[in-house]
Amino acid sequence: MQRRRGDLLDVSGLKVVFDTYAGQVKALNGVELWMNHGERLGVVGETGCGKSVTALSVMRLIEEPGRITGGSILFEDRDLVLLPENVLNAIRGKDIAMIFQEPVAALNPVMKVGAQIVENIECQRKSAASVQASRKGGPASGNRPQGRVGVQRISSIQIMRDMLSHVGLDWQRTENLYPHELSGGMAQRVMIAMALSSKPKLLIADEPTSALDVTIQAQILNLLNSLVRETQTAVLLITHAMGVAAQFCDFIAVMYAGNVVEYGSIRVIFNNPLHPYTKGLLKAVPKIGKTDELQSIPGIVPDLIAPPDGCRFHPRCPYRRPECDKAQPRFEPARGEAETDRHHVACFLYQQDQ
Amino acid sequence: MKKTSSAADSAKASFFKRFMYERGPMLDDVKHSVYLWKKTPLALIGTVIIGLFLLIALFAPLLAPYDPIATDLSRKLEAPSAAHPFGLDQFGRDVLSRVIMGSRIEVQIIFIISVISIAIGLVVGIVAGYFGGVVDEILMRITDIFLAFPRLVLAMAFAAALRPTLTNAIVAISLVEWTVYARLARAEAIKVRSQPYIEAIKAVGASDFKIMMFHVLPMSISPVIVQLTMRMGTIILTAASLGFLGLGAQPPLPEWGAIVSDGRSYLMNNWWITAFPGMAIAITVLGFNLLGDGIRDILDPRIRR
Amino acid sequence: MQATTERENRDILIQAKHLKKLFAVKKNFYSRPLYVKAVDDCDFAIRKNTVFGIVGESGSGKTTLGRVILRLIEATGGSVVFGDTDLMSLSNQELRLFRRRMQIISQDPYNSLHPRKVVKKLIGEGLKIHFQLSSQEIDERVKNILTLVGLREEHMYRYPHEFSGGQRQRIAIARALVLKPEFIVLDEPTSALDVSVQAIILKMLKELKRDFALTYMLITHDLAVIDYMADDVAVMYLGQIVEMGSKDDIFSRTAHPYARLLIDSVPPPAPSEHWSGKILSGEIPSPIHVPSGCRFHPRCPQAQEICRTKEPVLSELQPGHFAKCHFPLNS
Repeated sequence: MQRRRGDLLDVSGLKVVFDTYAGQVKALNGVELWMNHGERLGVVGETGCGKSVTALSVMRLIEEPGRITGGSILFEDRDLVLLPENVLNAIRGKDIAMIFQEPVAALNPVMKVGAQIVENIECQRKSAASVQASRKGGPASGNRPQGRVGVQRISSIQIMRDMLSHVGLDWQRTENLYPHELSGGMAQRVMIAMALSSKPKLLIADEPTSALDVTIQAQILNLLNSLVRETQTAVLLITHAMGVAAQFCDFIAVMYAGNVVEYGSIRVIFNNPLHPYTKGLLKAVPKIGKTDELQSIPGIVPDLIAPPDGCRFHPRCPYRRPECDKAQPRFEPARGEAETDRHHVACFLYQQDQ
Repeated sequence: MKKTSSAADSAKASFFKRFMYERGPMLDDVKHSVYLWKKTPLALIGTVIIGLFLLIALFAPLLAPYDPIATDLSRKLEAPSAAHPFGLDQFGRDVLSRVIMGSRIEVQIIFIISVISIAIGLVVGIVAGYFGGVVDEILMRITDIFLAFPRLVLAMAFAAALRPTLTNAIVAISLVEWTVYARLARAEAIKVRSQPYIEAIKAVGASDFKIMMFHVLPMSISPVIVQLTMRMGTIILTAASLGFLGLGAQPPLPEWGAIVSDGRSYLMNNWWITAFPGMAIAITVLGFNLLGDGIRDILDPRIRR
Repeated sequence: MQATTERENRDILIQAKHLKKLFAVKKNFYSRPLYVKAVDDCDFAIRKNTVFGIVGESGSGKTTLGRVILRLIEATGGSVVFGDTDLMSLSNQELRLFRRRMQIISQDPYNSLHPRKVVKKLIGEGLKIHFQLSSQEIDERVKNILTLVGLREEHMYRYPHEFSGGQRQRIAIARALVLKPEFIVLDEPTSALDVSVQAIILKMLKELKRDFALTYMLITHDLAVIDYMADDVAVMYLGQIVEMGSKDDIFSRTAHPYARLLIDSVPPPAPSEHWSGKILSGEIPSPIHVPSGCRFHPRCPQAQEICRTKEPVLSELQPGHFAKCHFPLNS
């Protein structure tokens, strides 16, 4: 087995397919990314590039008709692809938590916010206890005195209130609200409170601010920033907004059509992008105060049922070479850059051995 | 001469090609539906039952072994035998022939009721839903009045008031049936009305009539059709009930409900007169219900991917 | 003085005065209706052949404003003059025919095209209404407009679901453009699209404006798009225009604190640029119960006593630069 690249998460060669009526959608085609404890990694790319599928795969939440067909997802020292469901349940929500683009939709509409967070905390406690019990192989949890349950519930309520005030909400008011009574910004704060209540090692944020206004986006990003800095939580941020990635993350993985085409620190990705797709993407983003002509990437995103051979970007690539439609370029370190920038690219222009 | 024919041929070929090209996506849609169809066995059973029902109705005069209204009092109430598999009734008429010929009457009833009630329902529903406000209030309150009466009782009242004949029974059932489609079409029209593509067509300058006719109607019709298939069983049951109560088809017309009614006084000793037409009603209603459920499932966007 | 205003008047395509739109909401059947002030007393003028940008958060009323201008939603009060025509005085029939001159391209390319119509029908519909054309002529014009927006002739007989978001937006643009309008409302034309597609569409819209002497009203929440496209900008907050002026006035000589904070909350897409991270606290209040005085005062970092009690007027700071604030910045 190859050397582990990140001590928290190391995804390598991850492949996911979806079987649909129209054919097999090859959604992920060997995704490579990794991160250490406490780092923030941004996964950027356009619609259909597979960034959300990557996030769901790390949570092992890929459901029928999708399945993981290859690769590994090392989380600390365990491969999440191989773990049985009950162990995963203990990891999900406890060690890895997730927040979504539509926070209101992710909450139960008929349950008060406070009760939902408490329920969530209790749930994690139970699944953690059951895994521990099964590890010990004895009925250790069975002979626990009954009174403990009530004590635990009270402490869960306390945690819930702490978390709500932590994310800038007034718990006395908020805990008795139903999800539809929350604004988008408040609901996202509640989601963050819920996700961080278990002190996860990794927080996966799937487009957490895309449905929000810019002023609220700024509030949420600042909040998230201060909370994870305080608790040393690592964040995997899925976003299509380059501005959000640039301001929030330490490292960036650029995805295109199911592949990570470039990976590295924000400094190298923004200042010295190598992959033609990354270059095109950065030039297409309009910036305030720089009204020179925007550049667009010609062509359209490929159909993942019948993706192009070789490099999936080659039909749109301005630097296309003869070998580009023959084989998939390897994901390799870029030459002549600092180790700490971790700059990797999958493109024949930078392939080392030829 | 040859030249022109080849030109005509190529024109025909290009017409066909263009037709396939234009309608290609629709054909794909149909193929997809067939694919889903095959995966829903109950819908398949429903289709087979209804297919048989329609075939029997179509070829009834060829299939029926005897004249359904020819009486032979010397052989009345004869039990089922090889010559008369469903037996004979109190006037010596062949029950099998009556049931087979009766299927034609049922098809006729269903067809006319569907056309009338869908036409009224769609017009009322779409106009109410599209305009909203006062128009909606008035039209929907009228609908509510019709809905406030028990359906069978209202149909009975109409049928009795208009003189009990098959035509009047059909009119009576249509007059209570349209409310279902009106409400459904209204709900759809309200949904479609607020879609951006309706605003877009309004912005282009289309008139209200055009928008309703060519933009709202095509989008509202499919749930109405599904509902119709699901309600066909009920329509048959209502028609049969009216026939049974003597308010629908009059003797000697072999309408299934009327046949059941005819045989009810002989039920204890001569079960076959009521049992076979009763079974025909039950199986056909079941067939329509299965078909309706199947169509609803197939059109459900959640499984349609 | 007289001469200049006259010249300006000739340059103006659309003049909106005291525009108002209230939506009545009822809690239940018996209660007295409350009013949502979606658009509250908006005055502005759009110059010919320019892009007038409207920016604001969700709930600011910018989308309603775009609809009211076109009379797709009837205004509660105020007037809109298009060229020499008072739109509010047109009968329904006259309005239908007038619609040829003013079009809209809406946000959602997935729902703005009728799902059961082929492209030719979608684009040809307006031609049929406004021009007496034979079917060959309609075919011809649809083909021409498709090539103009970067689609191909063979797309004529396809259904909307066969196209990507960017292509659908091109179809919507073709549908508007085929009528040869003078004025187009662009309501978040690219917010549902990816950045690379957004770049293509924005560029195309700019070129079309130049080639066909169009006037745009661009409604968006994206300040970078405004900066790229617009000549004049109005910033909306809770149904009112709080600042209006040329693009440079808004971005470089910002006067209203809300506009300033709005601009500052956009994260710049470059790690080297320091994000000032100044944060606008709170959320946009409900437009049913608007705050007294200046509507922005509960969130404003420099609110004073007067802001709570007295509503500021939209006053001209410099020629063409208006702000609705008691204490405008940079003055």
